[in-house]
Amino acid sequence: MSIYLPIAEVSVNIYLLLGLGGIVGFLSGMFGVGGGFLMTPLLMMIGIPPAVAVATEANQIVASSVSGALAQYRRGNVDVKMGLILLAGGIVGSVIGVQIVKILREIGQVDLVIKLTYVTMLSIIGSMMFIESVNAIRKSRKAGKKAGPVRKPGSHNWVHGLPFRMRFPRSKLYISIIPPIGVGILVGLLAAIMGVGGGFIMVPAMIYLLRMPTGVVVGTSLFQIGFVTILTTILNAVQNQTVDVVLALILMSSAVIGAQLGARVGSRLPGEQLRVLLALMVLAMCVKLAWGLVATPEELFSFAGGGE
Amino acid sequence: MRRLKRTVLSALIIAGGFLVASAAPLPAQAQEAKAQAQEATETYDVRQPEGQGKGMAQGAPVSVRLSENRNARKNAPKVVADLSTHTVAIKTDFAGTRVMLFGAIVGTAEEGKARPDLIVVIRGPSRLFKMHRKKRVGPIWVNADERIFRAAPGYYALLSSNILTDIAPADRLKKRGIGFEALQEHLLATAEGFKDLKEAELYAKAFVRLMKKKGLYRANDNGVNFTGRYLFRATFDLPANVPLGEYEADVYLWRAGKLLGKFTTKLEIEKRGFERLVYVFAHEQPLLYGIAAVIIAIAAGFTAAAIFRKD
Repeated sequence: MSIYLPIAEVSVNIYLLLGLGGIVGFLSGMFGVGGGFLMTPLLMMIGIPPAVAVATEANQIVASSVSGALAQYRRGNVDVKMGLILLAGGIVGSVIGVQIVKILREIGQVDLVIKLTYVTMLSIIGSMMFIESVNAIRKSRKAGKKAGPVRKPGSHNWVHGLPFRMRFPRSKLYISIIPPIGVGILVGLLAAIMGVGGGFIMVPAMIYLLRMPTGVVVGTSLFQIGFVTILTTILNAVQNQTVDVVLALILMSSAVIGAQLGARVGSRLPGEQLRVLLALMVLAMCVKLAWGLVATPEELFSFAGGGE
Repeated sequence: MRRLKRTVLSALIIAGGFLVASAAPLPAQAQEAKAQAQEATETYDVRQPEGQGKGMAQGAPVSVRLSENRNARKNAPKVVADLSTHTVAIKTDFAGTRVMLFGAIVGTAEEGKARPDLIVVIRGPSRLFKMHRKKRVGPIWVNADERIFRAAPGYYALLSSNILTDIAPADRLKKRGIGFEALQEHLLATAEGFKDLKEAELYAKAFVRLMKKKGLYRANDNGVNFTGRYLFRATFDLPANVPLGEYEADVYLWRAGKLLGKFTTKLEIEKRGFERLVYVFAHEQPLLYGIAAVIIAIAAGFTAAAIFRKD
């Protein structure tokens, strides 16, 4: 059954959309990522105009992150104080990001920059996560059955030497607020440029840079993503009229269910294995995108703003 | 659902056929028309009032307009046509549609003469197109060049009753603006930012190729079918990605490489119902729309969380 999307102005199979929403929602619930970095390119692949895909995806992430954050909050897995600091950075970042996109549009290089940003970010984060979590699994095996968290007391890095320190009781941290604000800005920037929530950047940054306990990372990132995507949705609706509510609603309806199931499955699986899985997924997406940039295209010509 | 549509459409076609048939000269009328035509051929009386009226079967339920071809003799064969619908409404279940154009050749006796040829051109609303060409920069392919065609139709269907080159010489068709060669020439005339003609031609060709791939440009030299000596019909598909706006269908009547008449009718493609509501809301109240989109999303999230809370 096909459905005509009023803003995207294309006709798409509704079951395909529901399926995509469900799968991506499941992964987002499991890993605590918004899922946008999978969904946005997938939407473009099925013929949704890139501008609409990016804006609508932000709207859809609102639903999955709010429901995910709520589920995590009930389990006490959200560090609200840290979330607010990250959010402050996120707002600054997304406002700057929107300006950058505007300039890139004028030069006509927005597509290339989006893809290059994807490839760069995904390859760095993916390989970093993969190596770290594989090492962690090895270590925990050697240390016998004592599969404890990676974080050891006193394992401080340069981040912990910066000024403006603040106490985060929930995360059991006493660190400078400069790194979380910096992470927030970076995530906000990427959210605006790539049409993603930014969880795939924020989650590893929280674990490896801020050394937050793994338990609160997922909930806190969803908290921040929820608010940043609310802002992005409204900005896009006002500036570009590219938010397709019908498309978003279809994706949401299956994604929220997927996210709930994912969160459940995720809490049962061991953290290290989960991260290996996420790392592999990120790397696969990265290879796919990089190949698209390097491979000789069949058609050298294209329409600006078109889906292909 | 689809079957229902087809039934409705075929009913329309049959009804349309009857209407046209009543507008077309029936055998008896044809005789009369023939006599008149012969008379007219001899006298060349341009003021002859019946020339138009009789063949048209005055008061026919189909509203028909004859093209104003001042040079043509009144008794020359003329073409009238209508569409199975004049508005295509895009609703939630729109996945493309098929429109039929049907018509008749009227106004003179055709017996003893070779059957004329018909070309039907359906043109969508014109707009600006920006194109990119990829070039290799280091290991990656980059959209290196940007070129513009200021005005090109968003939809173009070319249907004919015969192979185009058998209907008329290529240059004559081009002069009338019929066919993809003419279209490419039009593209070149509105091209912007090109280094030279060769480059512009390359882009124009790519433009047509891309539009054909999207199903928005199409050609069929068996697309106009005669269902009798004077009646004809042509169907054309509007894909789901069809641009909105006002369309023009031109019917050209040719014989022996000469244009005998032209008839134009219009088609409007627009959003309706819920689709239109959403679209208008998004464009006229963007801030409210954005807030509504967020509220819907939050509500959806909370609903899901509430449902899953129990277990």
